[in-house]
Amino acid sequence: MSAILRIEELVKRYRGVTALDGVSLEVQRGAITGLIGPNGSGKSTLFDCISGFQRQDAGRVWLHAAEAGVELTGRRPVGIVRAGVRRTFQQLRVFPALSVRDNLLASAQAAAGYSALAETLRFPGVRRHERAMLERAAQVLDEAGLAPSGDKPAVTLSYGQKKLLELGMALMTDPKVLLLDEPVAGVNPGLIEELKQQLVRMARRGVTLFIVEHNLKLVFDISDWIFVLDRGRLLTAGTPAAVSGDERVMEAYLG
Amino acid sequence: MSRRTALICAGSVVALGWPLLANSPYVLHLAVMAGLYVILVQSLNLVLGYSGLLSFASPAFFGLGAYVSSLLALRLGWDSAIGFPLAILAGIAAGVLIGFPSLRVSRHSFVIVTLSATLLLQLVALNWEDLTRGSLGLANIPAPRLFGVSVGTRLEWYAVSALAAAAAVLVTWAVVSSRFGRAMVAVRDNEQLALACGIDVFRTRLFAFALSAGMAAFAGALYAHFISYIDPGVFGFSITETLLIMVILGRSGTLWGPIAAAVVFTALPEVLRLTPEIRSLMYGLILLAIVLFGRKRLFP
Repeated sequence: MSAILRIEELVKRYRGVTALDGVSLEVQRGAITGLIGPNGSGKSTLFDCISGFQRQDAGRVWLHAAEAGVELTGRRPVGIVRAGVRRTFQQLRVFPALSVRDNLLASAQAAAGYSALAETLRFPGVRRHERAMLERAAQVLDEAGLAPSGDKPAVTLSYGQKKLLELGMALMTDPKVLLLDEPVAGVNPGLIEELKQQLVRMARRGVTLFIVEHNLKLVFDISDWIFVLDRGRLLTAGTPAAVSGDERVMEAYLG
Repeated sequence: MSRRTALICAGSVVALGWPLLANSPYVLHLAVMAGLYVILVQSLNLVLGYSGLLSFASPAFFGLGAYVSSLLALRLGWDSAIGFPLAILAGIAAGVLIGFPSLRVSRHSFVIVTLSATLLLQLVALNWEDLTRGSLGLANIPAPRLFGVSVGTRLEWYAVSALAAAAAVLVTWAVVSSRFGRAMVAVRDNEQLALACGIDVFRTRLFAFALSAGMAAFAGALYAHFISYIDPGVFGFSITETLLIMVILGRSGTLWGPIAAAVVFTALPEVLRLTPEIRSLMYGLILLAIVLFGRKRLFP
């Protein structure tokens, strides 16, 4: 195993409140890595910094997808997505006015890197990429069980279906690392099982998953390795068995 | 053919054919103006409807196009085949110039910047008297010459206006039905998610805004040559007001709704001339009724 994502001494302050206080960690290639911790421990801030939605005050982020690592520090979200790191949000987000299929296509089109003009004038390369993505979208729709709703506006989907769509959108471009911010929040138990299967399938296919989740049962079930954050610092890390036996983790959660 | 397509075809035939049958200078004049409004609503719809940005810069680009094309014709005697494209380019350039700083900040600041841009250009037109003759305005703007052929009669103007409007519809359709159009809607619907999908939110908005500016400038250029007189009043906000009514009531973010609204709301005030005393009142009541009861808006 080797690290695919390396975070060094990340510091983020919001007007004097230190959200991240020198966090260093490594996410292993192809593994499912969990990130847990009480509310306000800095989990979402860490994701925001990795994905470029927030700029950290200090520290660096490296992606080791190929032989040579790429530094993600200071890149804008667009550049980080192109490098192969994608994220989802704590609050469910889809494009409500677009059809379910168009949600998937919109999620994949930027990866090809065509200009607005090329896309408007439908250059041959754009058409080719669009056709390839249409095939991919059909496959993703099938796997998520959303095929019958492909042409419906995304706003008409149920909450659970939107969660599945959100995962599908993230998968469209075959990301190297996927940051999932509470993938099962607000989902009923039946669907949690389905989403869990999806996550395990994704990991088997080689997508490295880094998951923030409050559903500890799920995290302990599927993770290969777990990091615990508390008040902006790394409290501990280890296998699910080791972390679940750690008294400090319980203490942090119970305050 | 769906009911919708049939409705669009029928509507287009009536809108295009009626002025020819009526064959009155007055109706033709209105038809030319309706064509210009069709171009203008596309311009605002790209920004407001498809990109979700409230812009008050329509008069800025409209006026800029009017002045650029008029000055080129008056001062240099240039053919409109060059003047119109240059007016469009000036609009696009101004769109990029205004959009570049304002689209990086919040959407609220964008509203203010577009408002200021219009006021600023109006001040320039008022005070740069050597060039624009200030509040005296530019008179005797010649009929456009396109490749040596002069567009003089109202009927010829009607043809030019209809063709220009059709071209604007075609361009808008090409944009909104393309992959780029999907990116525009994605950015409008959820900016954060669009970013997470790798869509360059800023560039998407800038492209839409610049294109919209070019269209408004084109309408302005046509207007100047059609009316043959312009003054700094072309930068007035009444254009924005009318356009907002047309785009919103026609249902912003759809292609044909605002087009239909442009035609209807150009003709409506004139039709109401039958009752000159209560014309404005009628117009206001009709607007109010549409806003209150017209949930499906003007177009299904």
